[in-house]
Amino acid sequence: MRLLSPTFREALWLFVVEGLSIREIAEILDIPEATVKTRIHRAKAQLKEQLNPAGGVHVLV
Amino acid sequence: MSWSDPARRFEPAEDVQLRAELRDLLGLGASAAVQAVEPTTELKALADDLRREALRRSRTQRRRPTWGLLAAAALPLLAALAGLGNWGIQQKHRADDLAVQAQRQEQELTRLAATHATEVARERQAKEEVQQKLQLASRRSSPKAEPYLVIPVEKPLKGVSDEFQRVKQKP
Repeated sequence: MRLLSPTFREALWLFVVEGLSIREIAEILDIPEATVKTRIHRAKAQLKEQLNPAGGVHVLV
Repeated sequence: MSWSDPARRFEPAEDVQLRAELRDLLGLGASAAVQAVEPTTELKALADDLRREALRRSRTQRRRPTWGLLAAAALPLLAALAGLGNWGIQQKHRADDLAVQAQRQEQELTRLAATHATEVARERQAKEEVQQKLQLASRRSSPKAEPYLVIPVEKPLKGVSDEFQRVKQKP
């Protein structure tokens, strides 16, 4: 997760770990909700690229 | 009310599903499992870092200018444009007045020149008439006078030559 860019990482962290909704994240970061969704989806895509797609061990590093 | 309070928000199903997918992807599993796991020091540092970053961005991120701000920013420009327009209108009126005044002066000069020319022609004609009358009068006053030549001499002729000396006739 550290390999992600700061903008993607913070959106992903607030959404997954903190459990905030898209609207709340948008209010906190003062950005549109569509931007939050875009960041989260791009972070997901980057995570899929970085992690082992064959089902290896997922490590939060 | 904390951010994670479930009573404060309603999430669409697709967001809930996306969160679950991401949890699986990150190996977090269910939320209960996350709470059961003791966070490591590194995880705490990462969380603090992200919280600080989110807080800083929420405070320092530039907000979009509203219409009020745009109007306030455009107000001096509008005032300057209005002043410039007013000055331009005044200058135009002034130029129009000067043009009208110049045209009037030109018409007055033309009229004076025409009057002067008429008077000069009239005086010339009167002078010619007077001269003609004088000539006519002088002709009528001496009809038999013969024309003779008058030669002005400064001093009388004293030394008369012998040829023209008038002598008395001898008896």
